[in-house]
Order: sequence, then C-alpha cells, then structure tokens
Amino acid sequence: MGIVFSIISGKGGVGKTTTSANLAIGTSLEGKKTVVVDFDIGQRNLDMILGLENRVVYDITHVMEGDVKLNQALIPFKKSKNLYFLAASQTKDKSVLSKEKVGRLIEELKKEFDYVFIDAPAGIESGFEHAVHFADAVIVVVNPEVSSIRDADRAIGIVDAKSKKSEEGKRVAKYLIINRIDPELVQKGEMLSSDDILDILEIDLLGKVPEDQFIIEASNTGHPVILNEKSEAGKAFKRISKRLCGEEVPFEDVETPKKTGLFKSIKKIFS
Amino acid sequence: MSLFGFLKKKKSAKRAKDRLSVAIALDRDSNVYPYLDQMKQEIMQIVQKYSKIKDVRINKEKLEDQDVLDIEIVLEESRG
Repeated sequence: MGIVFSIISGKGGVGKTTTSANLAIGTSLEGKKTVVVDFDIGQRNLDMILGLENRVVYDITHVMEGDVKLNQALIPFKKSKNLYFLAASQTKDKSVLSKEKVGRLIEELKKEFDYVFIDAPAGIESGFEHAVHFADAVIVVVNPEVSSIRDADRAIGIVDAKSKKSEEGKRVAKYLIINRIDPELVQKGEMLSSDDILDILEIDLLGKVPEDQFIIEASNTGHPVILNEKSEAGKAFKRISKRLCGEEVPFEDVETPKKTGLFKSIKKIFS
Repeated sequence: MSLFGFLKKKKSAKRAKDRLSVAIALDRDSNVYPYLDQMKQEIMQIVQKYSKIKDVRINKEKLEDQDVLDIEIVLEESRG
C-alpha cells in the first residue's frame, strides 16, 4: 500500500506546485513508483510545471466520474520512468469533488504506487479539505514571511481537525519545507530564520530551499529545477526527496551566503 | 536601556517573530473548538425536548492548566 503525501500551504504563491513537481520527480528517481495528482480543480498548473500541458487528454474528474479508467488518464513523465501525473480538471468547478469519490480514487492510486503526492489548492475551502482528508502525511510549504506562516498555521489546524486519520484518533505526520530563503537577508536579521519559523509552527523540519533564479527558468521551460544540477534549489529538493525515501541527509546551511570566489567574480563581469 | 537605544531600530525579522507569535496564539485560541456552533444547536434541541429554552451560552475559560467550557442554559420563565 502506498503512502499519501498532501502538499499544502494555506497561502497561494509560495511554491506548492513547484515543490510537488520536484519532490515527485526526486522520489521517483530514487526508485519509488510515484504519482503526482493536481487537486487544484479549475486552476490547473502542475501540467505546465512538469512540461506535460500538451499531453493531457483526460483528467481527475473523468476518472472520478467513471468516464475513463485510471490508466487512461495517467500521463507518464518521460524524464523519469517511475513517475506518472494525473491532471486537474480545468473546466469544471470544484463542486465535482466528493469525499467518497476522492477516497475511491486515492485507494486505487495507493494500490498502484509507492508514493502518492497530492498538490492541494491554496486556501482552506472544501477543495483543500478533500485534498488533505486521506493524507498519511502533509508537507507544509512556507516562505519566510508573516502572511505565509500565519496562513500555514491555519491550514495545519484544519488538517488536525478534519483529516480521516485525525477523526480516527490517529496522528497525521506534518513536515515543513521553508522555501525561497534569502541567505543575505537572514544574516542581516531582516528575514525570519528557519529556527524562528520552527519555533512558531512547532512541526518537524523536512527541508530548506534557497531562493533561486533557476526556478523561473524551470517553469518557463517546463523542465523542473531538480533536473538542473547547477541549481541550489534543485539540490535542496534532491536532499528532501532522499529524506522522504528514508535516507538520513544532514540539513545544509542555506542561510549563510555562499562566498563568491575571485574566479567567479571575474566570470560574472564577463557574463 | 542605553541612552541611544532608541536610535537602534529592532531588526525586522525579530519584529516579525514577535508579531507572528501573538497573532498565531490568538488564531489558535479562537479555533480550538470549531464545533462550538453545532454543539450549541444540538444542546438546544435536546433540552427543548424537556423544557422551554431561552438561550444557551457557552464560555471558554482557562483555569490554571485546564480548558473549561462553561455552558449556561437559560430557561423560559415557568408559569405560576
């Protein structure tokens, strides 16, 4: 039976979809049979991030309504043979989701895959509740910024109150990813440090991802940053993926600015 | 405090942490019992089976390290 991870954030625009895409690729490259599902009904985006927007024929709604079989809607991600993608519906609204239908879909996915990643919608409305209800663990993505952290805390509260595991009296595991860390600002005391954020949210740290210009390039091209060996964010997602696969990977210090060597400085002048 | 302490502005990350800690503590406090409205309705339904009811008031209190729900059921004045 597979494990279900829901990726949540509360606030939108903090890098939830990017995180979903990269962790799904990362764990699949570690050998786990992985599926990543876009649960943001009406605002499909994961297909773009994965570079699969032209491959979508059937989506999650078609499967839940029984129009097509699951296998017909799963799209293989060619750059990693263990990864499949299930798109969100772009046309229908999120009222198509019901707890029973979502439950049935997730049961089916758990039978076929080791890891099921659910890219939850932003906010804490019904779409969000459906996306976290069946989670074994939630991965909370925040930016080191007040509104993101506050909204994340509300979202965590809803997971604790409404998920199936909580209803059964069990504990849902919760892990934190701090995304878009600017090391120079942290050093100057002008950005919340990861220790500050952990103090406030009181959940376990899964990883720290530095701000990285390659992220934009990756979404522009549909070639996720974890596949770019030069990218610091890509390396961070790789470390997180290994942790999710049970490997003990020490936390890198992404909060101290990298020293720029003389050679690099000279190169910068000519680039 | 040093004489020129007021010239040194507190770093903004420290202020963010202080403000967030307070805001989140308040948020959490007001969301501890998300079922409160529904519970109130149900209590009213039950009591109404036996007696005419005017109102149900629920107060959240903290007594030392215990959370207490203080439920007050106000009945209609009985005849006679």
